[in-house]
Amino acid sequence: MTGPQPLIQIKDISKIYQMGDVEVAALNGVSMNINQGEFIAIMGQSGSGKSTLMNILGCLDRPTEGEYLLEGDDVSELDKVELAAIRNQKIGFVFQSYNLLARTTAMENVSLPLIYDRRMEWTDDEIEEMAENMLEMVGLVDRMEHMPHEMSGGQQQRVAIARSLVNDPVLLLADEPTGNLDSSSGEEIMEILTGLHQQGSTIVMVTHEPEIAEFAERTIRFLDGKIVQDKQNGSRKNGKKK
Amino acid sequence: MRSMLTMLGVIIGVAAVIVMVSISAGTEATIAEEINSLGANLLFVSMGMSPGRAAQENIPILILDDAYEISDGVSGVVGVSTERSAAETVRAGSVVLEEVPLVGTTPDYPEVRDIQLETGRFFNSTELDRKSKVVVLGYDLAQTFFGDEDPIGQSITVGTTKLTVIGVMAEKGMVSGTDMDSLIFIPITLVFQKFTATRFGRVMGDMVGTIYVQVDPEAEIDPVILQIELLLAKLKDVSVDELPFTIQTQQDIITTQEATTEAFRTLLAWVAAVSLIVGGIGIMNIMLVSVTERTREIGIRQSVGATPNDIRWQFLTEALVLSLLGGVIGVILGISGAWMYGYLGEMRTVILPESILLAFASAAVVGVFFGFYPANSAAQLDPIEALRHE
Repeated sequence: MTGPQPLIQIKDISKIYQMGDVEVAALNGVSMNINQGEFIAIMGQSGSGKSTLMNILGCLDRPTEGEYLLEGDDVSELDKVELAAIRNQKIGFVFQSYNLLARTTAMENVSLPLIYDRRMEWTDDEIEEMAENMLEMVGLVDRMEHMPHEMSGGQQQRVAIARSLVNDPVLLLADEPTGNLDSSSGEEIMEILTGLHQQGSTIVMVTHEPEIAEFAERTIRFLDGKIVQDKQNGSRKNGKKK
Repeated sequence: MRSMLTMLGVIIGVAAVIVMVSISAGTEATIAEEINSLGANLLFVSMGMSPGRAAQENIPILILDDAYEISDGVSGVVGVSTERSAAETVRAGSVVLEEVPLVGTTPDYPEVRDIQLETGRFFNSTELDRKSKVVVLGYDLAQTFFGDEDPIGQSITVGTTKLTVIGVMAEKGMVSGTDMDSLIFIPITLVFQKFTATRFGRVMGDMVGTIYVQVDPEAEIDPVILQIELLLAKLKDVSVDELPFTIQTQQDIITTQEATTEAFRTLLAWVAAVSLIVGGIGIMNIMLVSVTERTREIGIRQSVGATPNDIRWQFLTEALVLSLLGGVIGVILGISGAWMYGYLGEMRTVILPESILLAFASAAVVGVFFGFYPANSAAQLDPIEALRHE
């Protein structure tokens, strides 16, 4: 299960917000490792620090204290431009509210990360081909020219997943990916995520629904900015699929 | 719609630049033409003050004889003319016109002022000396009085004096604000005798306004001016420094006119600057609103890897597009406005390509300058805050 080196190593991370005169610790000395190919569910009440952890993992935010090693590189001290590059190249986000650009087609939404990719200059044709492949993977190739408001919630979330994967990230972060969806659409999304996991993707998912968390193989529970439980699920639902 | 309102300031600014630059360019061209149409190689000898004041203070005035003296006594002079104006009721058959401007002048007038005769002839020096009752009509007046009839040999009554038409001037148009085609030309001696023998007459005698001196194109102009000054000083019995007359060349007058145009230009530059600044503030305002409204979009872009520079460029480009679009509309409006102005009004307008370029450049500068702050504040947004924004 454990590779030669964990994909992510978090050492004693804290995030402290100044609320007037009071200091509030959203995260309080959290340490954990995430291995290549793991599918982790993070649970906890709102305010327990799980969203803060997601923001730090996704390089949207920096910890006040502690060390965050992504593929062995310390990213906790990077500046805004370097963090943007990490988000672009190594992280894929799936949000509860999909966060697609309005008045922008599915195709263009999926292409967005490639446009900001500085590693290489993709040609328009290459971008189109890659985005089309991603939309095909989530089964929306016939919706390429549709706007977000012309699609159902489940379809929008599938576009968002296509967008999160188009740059071939090392880590997929999903923040309540089924939170806004009915159960059958939610099921579809979880099938896609499970499929990705089986192909070797590393996925960290925040959820407060236990039945959704059961899709993951490891569940971490947060309370008051600390990890209170970290257990393997025994891949019950994954097992059922086999 | 909202973008349209935003661009309005830039549109007005740019249109104002173009309209006013074309008006001033047109005015300048008109002035240059008018000065040339006064005649070639002219010197203008004129009194520096009003005749009334000159009389009170016992200061010498210009009289008809001075013109003769200049003509006879200054070398390099090929023609001298002068004029004395009045206004009288003119009757020709059944047509009666009131307050028709009369120009009393000398035989050299057509040559010095560079006006041709349409038909007939101008009066000669014999007729001048004899105060002959002859008249030359401006082109339009001849049309008004006689239509298709031949005016030569006809009589018209000016005031109470009956005059014989001996010539008609060719069409000339406006010169220095005077419509040359609705004047009548009479020997100056006759004007002194019949039409200005009123209030000032006794005091002024044969006072004239400006003496036009035509200089031989081969001659140096400065010695001619000096000779005229010396001659006038001798005639008026004062020193050259005390001479109450000014002698101007056409170049002097052009320079004066250009100074006026320059002042006008400075004014319009300020007007344009103010409207462009107001337009720029409009753009800044709409961009700030746009950044606020699209905070979530900015967050999404940041989450997929847009750097602060990417965001800054996006919004700067939008501001630039807004201002340049305003520039395009402004240029179109400005050109049609300048054209309309030239078409409807009497002012001439000249559209300079430079003014279009200048207008575009200023629109672009406005876009970048006033777009920078909103674009920068978008670039500085915190991705987490931006994503949370509803």
